[in-house]
Parts: sequence; C-alpha cells; structure tokens
Amino acid sequence: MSFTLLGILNSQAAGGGAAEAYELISTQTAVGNVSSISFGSIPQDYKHLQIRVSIRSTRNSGDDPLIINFNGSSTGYSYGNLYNLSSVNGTEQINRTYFSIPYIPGAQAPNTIFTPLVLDIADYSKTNKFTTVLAKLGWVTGNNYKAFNFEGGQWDNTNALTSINFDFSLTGSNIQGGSVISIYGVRG
Amino acid sequence: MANVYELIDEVTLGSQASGVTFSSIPQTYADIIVSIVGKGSGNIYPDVRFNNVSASTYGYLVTYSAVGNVGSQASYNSGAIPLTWTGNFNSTQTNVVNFRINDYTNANTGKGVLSYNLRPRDGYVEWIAGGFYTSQAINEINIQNGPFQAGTRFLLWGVSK
Repeated sequence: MSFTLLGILNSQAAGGGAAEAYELISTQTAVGNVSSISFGSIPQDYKHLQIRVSIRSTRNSGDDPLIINFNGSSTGYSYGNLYNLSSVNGTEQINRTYFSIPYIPGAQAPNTIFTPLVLDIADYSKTNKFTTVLAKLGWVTGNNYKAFNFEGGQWDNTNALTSINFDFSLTGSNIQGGSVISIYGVRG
Repeated sequence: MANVYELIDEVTLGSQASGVTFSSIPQTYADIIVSIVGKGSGNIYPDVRFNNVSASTYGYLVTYSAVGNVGSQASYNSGAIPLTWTGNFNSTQTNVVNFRINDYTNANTGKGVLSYNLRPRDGYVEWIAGGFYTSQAINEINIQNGPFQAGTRFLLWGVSK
C-alpha cells in the first residue's frame, strides 16, 4: 500500500501574511505499514518548506536510509553528513539518484522507537537556483542503539519543487504504521 | 490563520532558581519545543526529565564541537537527558538551548528528543539526541540541576497539528 496525496489545497493560506508564520500544508499518518508516502501539487506561494517527521522502518535488520525524490526525478542528488553512532564521522555522496537520510531506526530498535526528523527546504519554488535541504535526526534506545545525523543536500535542478516522495526503496522495507510526515509552509 | 507555533508558557527568573517545571501541558499539539536562554549561577550542567520520572529510562547521544574539538558521549540507561555537555552553563556567557519532542502525546511509543546547545561566545556547539523509553504521554517537563541565574528565560512552545 502506498500513501499518495495529490492536489493539496492551500485553503489555510488565505489568511496568512504574518512574518515567518508556519502554516500546515498537509500531514499524513501511515495506517498500517506502507511502501511510500507522497505529497503532490505543493503550493508555490510560501518562501520555504519545513517537513517534520516521526518515523521508523520495518526493516528486519539494522537501521534504514530514508529515500527522498523530488518531482519524480532520479538524477542530480548530492549530500554530505556529520553523523554519530558512537563516534563522530562524516561522508559525502555526489550525483546520486536520490537523496538519502541514513540511520532511520529499524528492527535493531524497540518497536516503540520512532525518530524525530526535521527537514528544511529553502526557496523551494525559485527556478533560478538548485534546491537545497538541511536535515537533522537523532534517537537513542534502551538497548544501546543510537544515532545522530546532521545532513545537507542539494538537488541539481532548477525546477520548482512540486512533489516529494518518501520510501525505503533502497532496502525494500516499508514505512512502519504510525509514522507521521507533515509539511509546513513558511511565510516571510 | 493561527501561527503553527504557539507560546504555551514563559518563565523569566526573577531570582536564582534550581530549575523550572512546565506542568499540565496541553495534549492538543503535534510537537512541543522548549527554548532556554540565559546563564548559570556558576558552572551548572542542567538536564531534563519528563513527568518527573526519575528511573533510568532515558538515553542520550551527544555530538559536540568544543572550541574546535569534536567528540561524542552516550548513555542508554540514564536518569535524565542532559541539556549541555562540554558547553555547560556558566555565570559569564549566555547559553542557548532548544529541544523538541515530536508526537509527545502518543501513549504507545517511546519519545525522541532532538536538542541543541550553543555557547557561541566560547565556541561550543552541541547536538543531543535523547530517548525517553516509557510509553506515556508527556504532560510535565522538569528542567533541573541549576541554579540558573535571574533573568534566564524558559519558553514552552506548542506546534499545532
């Protein structure tokens, strides 16, 4: 099963205008395990987007990278991160087919552990610059599994961002039921 | 429309205090965020508990840069989640702490905490991931192990659903 929400109505934006106001565009909660969660027809009249997530994977071993694609595109994603599993390290990936956020909890963490994850996408509607993402997550469990990840990414594409898809397609796992993804528009 | 971020409560210390408790937190928001800006009365290492639970049902993973030196510290059976590590509060420089708890009303899951602490004048930057393993809705936040200086501000924000 896949969650897809198309044609999001921007009904909440009508009375906006306050500086730096955050307005909820859409929220989706996985009812049962789902293969993906998608948001389409994202309104173009905000300055930035913020995506707030509470999520875990059904992967039966280890943790799992969350895979994100914009506008259905599978080209031009690069990202680098500062992460901490028990010591501080960093990596980078250049020109990939997706934007990956590693260390989403899976079976290694008790099934009540969902990681908080926040993504900021600046100037998402502009067509004169590439799309950039700033992401951060962290979680700790009682059986001593833990992760922190602070990541920056870039999509080498000047198209306005109109849709986003989230899945665990790299491992073929599902988004566990109870996971929540909310997209907010930022005025200002 | 209403702003998504709503100020639930605000405390500005009129005199030195060992800590602040936000109680009877409304259960109507998606997430909650606490901001602290201020100083300690001497060197202090404040931490946070939820619902006044003192059992070892907390864990944390600290990622820090202390005057350019990066490091890590972790525990998975702690009695609280630290709000600072190397960049502790002191009596001279200002600390800025911000932590958020996603899905804090969910009584079926543990809670994840994502926090940062800055003491920018001295070059301290810290990220702290925390876990509260007890599956209970959070209706009280206990910030403790001061004393904090008078003038230190504590803000509790709700993030609307």
